[in-house]
Amino acid sequence: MSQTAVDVPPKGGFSFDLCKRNDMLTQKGLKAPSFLKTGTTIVGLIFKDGVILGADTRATEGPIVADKNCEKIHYMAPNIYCCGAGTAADTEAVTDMVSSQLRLHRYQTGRDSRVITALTLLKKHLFSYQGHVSAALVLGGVDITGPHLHTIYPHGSTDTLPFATMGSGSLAAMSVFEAKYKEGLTRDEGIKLVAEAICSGIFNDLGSGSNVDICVITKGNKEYLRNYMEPNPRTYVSSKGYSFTKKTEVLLTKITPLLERVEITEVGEAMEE
Amino acid sequence: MGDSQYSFSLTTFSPSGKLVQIEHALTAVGSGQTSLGIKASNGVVIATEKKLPSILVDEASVQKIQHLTPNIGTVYSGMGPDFRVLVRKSRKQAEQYLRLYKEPIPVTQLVRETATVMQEFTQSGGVRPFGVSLLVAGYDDKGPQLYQVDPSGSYFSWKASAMGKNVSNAKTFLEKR
Repeated sequence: MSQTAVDVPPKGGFSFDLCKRNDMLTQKGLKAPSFLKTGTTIVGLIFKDGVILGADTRATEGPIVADKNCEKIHYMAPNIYCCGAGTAADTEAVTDMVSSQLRLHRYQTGRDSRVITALTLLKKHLFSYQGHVSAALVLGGVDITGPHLHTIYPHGSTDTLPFATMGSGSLAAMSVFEAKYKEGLTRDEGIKLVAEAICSGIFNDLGSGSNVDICVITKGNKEYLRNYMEPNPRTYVSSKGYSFTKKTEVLLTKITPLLERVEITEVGEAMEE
Repeated sequence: MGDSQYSFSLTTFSPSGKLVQIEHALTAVGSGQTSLGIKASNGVVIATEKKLPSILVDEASVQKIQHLTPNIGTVYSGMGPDFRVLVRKSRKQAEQYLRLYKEPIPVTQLVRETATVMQEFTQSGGVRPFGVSLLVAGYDDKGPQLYQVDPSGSYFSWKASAMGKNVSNAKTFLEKR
């Protein structure tokens, strides 16, 4: 690290001042607060008419499932969607911010957003934070130049691929893609393959689970299939409802209204003009 | 704003209590092309005259009516370049509101923020007031709304309004109907 002092911008921007102090504290044995990681399976593939994105819906906080049905496919533009893996807050904030920038850009130019624009805005942001913004994204959409699919890593590098997977379940999902992907898939074949890949992640990876979300983007149209598949239904809900056994009887219901404290102020003289 | 040598405001009071620069700005508006708006029971209509300086000008490139959000639009009378700047600023403010509150900006809020910007330019150093009056038309939870924003930063809600050339004729016509 260079020893020269850097001018901190007067407003905005991330301040790295506390990083050294945090390092010192962790060295002394203080446990850093944990954050909500998504430990995910997210996938995307290009089919004959466009792009299909898929994601699981489990959000984990260490060994605990924090959200059983979260949304990991984020809206960027009417024709562009983005799946996010990594720290949930980071993926939400980054996709929200870039989606906002894209909307302003659409007003200015009067044209639909291009996937490459979203890609560049995201990678510039992530690179400037040197990997501290822990967001691994699968970005897909269809614009005037055709369908596109990209992956973005937390440090800011990107790949352009015909099919991609990210997250802790990416290896399980990639094995399905590598075995069964071919060019020119139809919509139904594509959806089936994506669902299979996500299920593979859900069943074989601890960090992924619950349901499958799918988003199909074609030229001029998009379908957001929330909870397309629910391979893990909850079975414990008692249909009879809960009833008290004889031993716990409601004996008495008494409502005691609290007395209002009313203070009487003396009527003083009016203020003189 | 402005060079240090021009950190004083160029808009100063006259002895009679008027801001002469704003009066001149209103004159600039009054010599601009006519625009008008009418609030209906289920919507708002805004229109303007699009008279191009020559037949060689590409008509599609001139956009006098602009979207600020999917449900708020605006038209102007006066100086086109000033309008562009205001539209850009308003769009950004609407976007920031949406990001902060996850709610599409209500028409009154956007009008208020635009009017604030216009007022700032009458009180800051080294800048001149905007030479446009805006008609902002929008539809939100409170129904259809039509506002006029002047170079001074004041805004009014109208049932029907007109600005620019021949404004008196236009207003008389609207009042009758």
